[in-house]
Amino acid sequence: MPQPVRDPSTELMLRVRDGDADAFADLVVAWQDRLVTLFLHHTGDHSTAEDLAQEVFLRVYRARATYQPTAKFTTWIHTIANNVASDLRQRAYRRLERGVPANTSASSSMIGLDQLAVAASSFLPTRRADRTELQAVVRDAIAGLNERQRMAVLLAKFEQCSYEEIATAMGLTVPAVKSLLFRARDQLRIAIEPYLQGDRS
Amino acid sequence: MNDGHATGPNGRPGDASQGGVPANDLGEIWGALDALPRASASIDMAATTIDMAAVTMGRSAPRATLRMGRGRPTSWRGWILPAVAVAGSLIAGVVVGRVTVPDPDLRILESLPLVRHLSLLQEAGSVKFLQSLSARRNQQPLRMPPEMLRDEGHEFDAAVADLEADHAWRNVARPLIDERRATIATMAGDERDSIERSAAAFQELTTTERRDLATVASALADPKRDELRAAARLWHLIIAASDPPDRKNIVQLDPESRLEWLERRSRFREWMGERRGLPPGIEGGPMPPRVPGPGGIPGDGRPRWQGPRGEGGPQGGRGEGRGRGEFRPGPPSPEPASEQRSAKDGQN
Repeated sequence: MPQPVRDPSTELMLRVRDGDADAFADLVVAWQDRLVTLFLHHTGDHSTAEDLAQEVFLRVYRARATYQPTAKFTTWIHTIANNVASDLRQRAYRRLERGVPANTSASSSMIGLDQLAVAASSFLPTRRADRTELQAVVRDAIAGLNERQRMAVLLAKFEQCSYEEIATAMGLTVPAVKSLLFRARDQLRIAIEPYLQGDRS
Repeated sequence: MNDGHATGPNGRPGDASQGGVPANDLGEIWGALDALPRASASIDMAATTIDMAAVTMGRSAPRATLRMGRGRPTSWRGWILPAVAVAGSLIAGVVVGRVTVPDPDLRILESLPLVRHLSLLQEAGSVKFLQSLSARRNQQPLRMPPEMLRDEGHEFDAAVADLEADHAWRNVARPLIDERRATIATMAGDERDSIERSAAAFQELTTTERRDLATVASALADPKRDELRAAARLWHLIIAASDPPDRKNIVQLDPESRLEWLERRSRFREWMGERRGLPPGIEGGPMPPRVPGPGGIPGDGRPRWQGPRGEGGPQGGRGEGRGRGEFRPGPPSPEPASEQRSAKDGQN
């Protein structure tokens, strides 16, 4: 039988399950910046990121009665976050099928990898990119990844997830996650490498 | 996973990172990702989220049950401890004055102008849309009896005047909140019910949606922004002139789709005007006054498109039969407008 897992967020969630409104407020305050960060880099838009983060909290709240502390709360909330991101993608597809242009600034900010590589190559490769420029390049490079690669990279980087935790959150196997990250690394390298070389020089 | 970010926001995981974890496998890319900034939620996000959860709580089960969390207690042993705990937290909440657990009623009272005119503000949509509409060549919607046009216009003007008179919805002073509370208390039952319904709908809105509403409301409350007011007024009349079953769907469209819808509507009307030999620029030409049928105005009472020239169909359900290609009041029909339209589509 799986042993209950105890960490600060799990403890809070157990209190939420037991009807403690303060605990829910604490949980929101503790997690809101983390989720907004995750969704900001996933969608490219701060308002969309906040809306998605709120959707995650609402799903957590609606499902509170069924919460069992057999896994860390972080794994559970990452699974919900991934589902919410996935729902957003499906809504965008449905809009496209209906012929309505997608209205998320996320999609407008996403550019193709080829385009990005061309943009990157127009700079001198040995030039040291300043922080703002590097930030823009990395942001665009992340935007050029497909949705699953992007989510896997963001969970790894911002939420410090292991392969197993990413696999659980995204409903994939560990080898599939490794493959996702491997391909993501290659794609990111194409776009970012000129700047990394600049940094090294 | 690092609950609570013990290793710092951008730090590598600890020793565990040595055994084939993403940090190692991503190589030099991992360091480059440090360039991505950490984001902060807006200041009102937590409060809005808790509001939204409160609405969920109110809808999914009786409030008292949910306050207790897991079902209605069956004996005093079941409820006495939670009751003491709740009373304790209430007292503690008042004493400590925690900002993380807002009073939903207080928030509604703070946002009362937005709540009162929620449907009008949602209808206006966004400043971006109003600016686009203002820049567009527009015509008055003519498919509407003049008296209805006048009434709808007055209703809009009154709402805007109301917003102009009371446009405080952030950091509202306590006396004003008390004044608003007193105003609601003296309202008639119907009006209060309407506010309560709007308040429930408002509480379901996300932070972004509330912010958008406040932006539109500020724009409409500003007497210097006449062009936006005029655009919002025109849009209000266009919506009022559209079929009631379509209104909600039109309002839910995003700005681009709204403009697309308007464009299609204008083209259709210009095409109709051309067919009737009217000069360009008059949307479909003037409407004949609406005349109730023998049984009064059917359905929503709106005049119906009688079909293009040469397409007759069953004559029984088609008004007087004169002047093909014109809008005329139809005979009484028990069908709602949308069903009536579908049936006609089938006929044609």
